[in-house]
Amino acid sequence: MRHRFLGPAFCLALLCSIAVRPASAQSLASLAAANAATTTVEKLPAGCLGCEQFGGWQVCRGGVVPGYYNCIATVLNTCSVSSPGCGAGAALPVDPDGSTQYVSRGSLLGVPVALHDGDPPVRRNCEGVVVARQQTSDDIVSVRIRTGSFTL
Amino acid sequence: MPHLAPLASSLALTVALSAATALDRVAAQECRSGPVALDARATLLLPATFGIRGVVSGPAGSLVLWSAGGEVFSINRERSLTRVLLPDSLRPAGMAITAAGLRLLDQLSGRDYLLHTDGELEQVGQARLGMAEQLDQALWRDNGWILALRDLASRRFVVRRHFPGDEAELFRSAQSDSVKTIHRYQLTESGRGLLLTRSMAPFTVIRLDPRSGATDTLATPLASLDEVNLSADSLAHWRALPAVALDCTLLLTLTDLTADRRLLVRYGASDQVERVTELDAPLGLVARLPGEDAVLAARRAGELELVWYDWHWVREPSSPTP
Repeated sequence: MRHRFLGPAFCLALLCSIAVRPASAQSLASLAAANAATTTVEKLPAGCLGCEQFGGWQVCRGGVVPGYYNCIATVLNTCSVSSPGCGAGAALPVDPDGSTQYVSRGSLLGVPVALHDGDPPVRRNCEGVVVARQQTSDDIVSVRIRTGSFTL
Repeated sequence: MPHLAPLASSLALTVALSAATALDRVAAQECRSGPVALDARATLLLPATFGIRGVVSGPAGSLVLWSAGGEVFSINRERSLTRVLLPDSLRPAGMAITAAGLRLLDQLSGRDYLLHTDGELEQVGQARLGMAEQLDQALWRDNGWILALRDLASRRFVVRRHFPGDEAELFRSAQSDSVKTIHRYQLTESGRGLLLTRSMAPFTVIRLDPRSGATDTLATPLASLDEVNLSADSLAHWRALPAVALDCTLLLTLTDLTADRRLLVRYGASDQVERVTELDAPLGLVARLPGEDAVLAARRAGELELVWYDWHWVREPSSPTP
């Protein structure tokens, strides 16, 4: 599985790598090592962020956490809301179609990510939750066909 | 003969249990279950950026839906959408379509309002909420509200009855380690009582008697998910939507927040999982519509849309397991 961060988000990642704190990177590296045996996700470039507790708050910190889509920090920590690792846990707002669609709520707390080359990018938060999707007209037709009738 | 008292109690309990079991069996025999087929009949595209917090249906095929931001829309039988104007400060925790008008309970204040058909908003009651209680949902039933809330002090999820002159606690979850991890359940109505669906793994469904508070926990769907290749370490990203009852069949939508993957779990009359269907589309079942053989679903096809499905039993219902 290959993670591909797109365009401006990747540039942001590079910029933010300057601010990475060695201590937090180390702790996340430990976590990475602990998780390495159970995950096969490719290691992300330095500068991608994971979630970490700091002074009682969940914040985005530098480092790499295998098994997760990592955040890319902006001026404000985009990692501070919405994902279990970042504190909100079950508070994720889920629409009745089963999606967490932050577009519905006026804010985008994710980064554009594509799992495979050629996939349309979707915006995900720091743990991979889709917070905004781009559906082409073909996707829409496909969804309608798949859900036109079914048996349970 | 005081030593007979425990025996009498025991006998009474045995008789009561036997009677309850017999009643359950009768209820189960009168209640159909089995495979169901759903066919899309109609759709309605919702306004862009509208996220649905709750949906309720009325007896005449009408619907009311509201967002977390307090936007409210009504949908009539002809599926035309009308915005309902409410004060900006109101955030409905629950709504109900009644003969007198639209009832709603405000999430923050616990105030109970009636929106008359002429547009007048009248406060008709007040649900008592503790300082450390956070209201998640209110469900209208028998002229009163069933409140689902989190007690942040005790770190438990609580279900309480708030009827005129009748307040009683019905359910209290196990204590959680922290406020963040308080179990969350979503309330839905069924012919056999209230259903509490736990949002996160293990997606427990609990049937709750709204009068006595007696509970019955259904088999967890996790044991039936081996064949659909759902790894244990991905469960943190899965959520359960509220269970939908079709007579004695229960349908539970499990959703993967990292993809448009859904698992539709069907329970039979014996409260065991009978089938898990995988669906690769952003769709969730919302409610059975009263008075018609239809199920309402939400689907994301560009924007969020409502879909009306006709449903029918695929074959004669199986004999229920007592």
